[in-house]
Amino acid sequence: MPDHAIILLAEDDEDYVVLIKKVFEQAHIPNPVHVVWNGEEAIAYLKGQGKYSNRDEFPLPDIFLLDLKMPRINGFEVLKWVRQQPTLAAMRILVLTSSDQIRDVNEAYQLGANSFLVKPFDFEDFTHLSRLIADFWFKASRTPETQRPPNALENPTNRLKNQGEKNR
Amino acid sequence: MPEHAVILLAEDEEDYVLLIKHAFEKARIPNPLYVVWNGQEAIAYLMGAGVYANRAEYPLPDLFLLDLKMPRVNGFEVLEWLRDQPGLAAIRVLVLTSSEDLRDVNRAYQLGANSFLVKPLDFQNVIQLSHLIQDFWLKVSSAPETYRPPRTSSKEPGRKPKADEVG
Repeated sequence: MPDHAIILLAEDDEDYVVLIKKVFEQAHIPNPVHVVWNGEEAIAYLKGQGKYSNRDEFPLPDIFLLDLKMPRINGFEVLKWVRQQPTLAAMRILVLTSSDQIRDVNEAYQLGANSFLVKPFDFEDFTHLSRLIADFWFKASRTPETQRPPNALENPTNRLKNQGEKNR
Repeated sequence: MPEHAVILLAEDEEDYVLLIKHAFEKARIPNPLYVVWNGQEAIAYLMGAGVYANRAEYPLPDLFLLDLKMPRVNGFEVLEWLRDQPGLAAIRVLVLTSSEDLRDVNRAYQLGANSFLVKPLDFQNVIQLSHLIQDFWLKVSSAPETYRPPRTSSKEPGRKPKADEVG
């Protein structure tokens, strides 16, 4: 089962995405990795909205690796948003960032990050970290259930209208 | 620095506390391990209240291993309380329980557990998990800053004067 655990990676640096994929290969981590390139896309993915509306193709992740500094919507805002969604609130989010600022560490945990990891730049260190992530988060730690927010495709007005029609 | 990271364990079962201590020894985890025996004691420890008033003797933990089923105040209640305290909200809490119930898993994460671990009963597996906790949580994962709520003499009328605390 741990081999099927789905990873969502939010990262705007293409080189780093390529590096992570290589590292996972090297560490024999066969899990599917879905990539989103900024915070806006991350939220759309989690909602199953727009180009992510095919939910079989874009399943909810078991682990969400989240960069902090991203264009449009940053990682802190994504964290805050996820924790406000009742059906997503239990999702396990590991911040993976180049920042080692203690203020960022504090803020990320306070907003509900499950862990805070500073991006290793050495390939060996990164392979070691990936193995630890797989061993701890996919094997030792239990995974919660999550669901996409209900009616994510509709705005509240439409939802009310539809309910009214159903009730008739 | 990782060897000095303080671990707090909230566990009401004495045998399991001994098992964890042995496993830490076997896994060569030199970190100071403090034990509290129920949720009420856990909260007192984190506040630095009552018998835990000497804060130098009972430092805030870098990692908190929390059992769920405990007398008086249970683990869920400790989690809920903890996440409401401004200075303590960032503390990293690993739930360590015998429960495999998915409802408990969901609830613990929703209340802000950093991770959920089912207690291994086999000694070798406890050692293996201890290694993993050390490698991931004490070595690679960054730790937040935490602080205790400031003492206000009006809220702690029964506490000893400062001179007595030091001695």
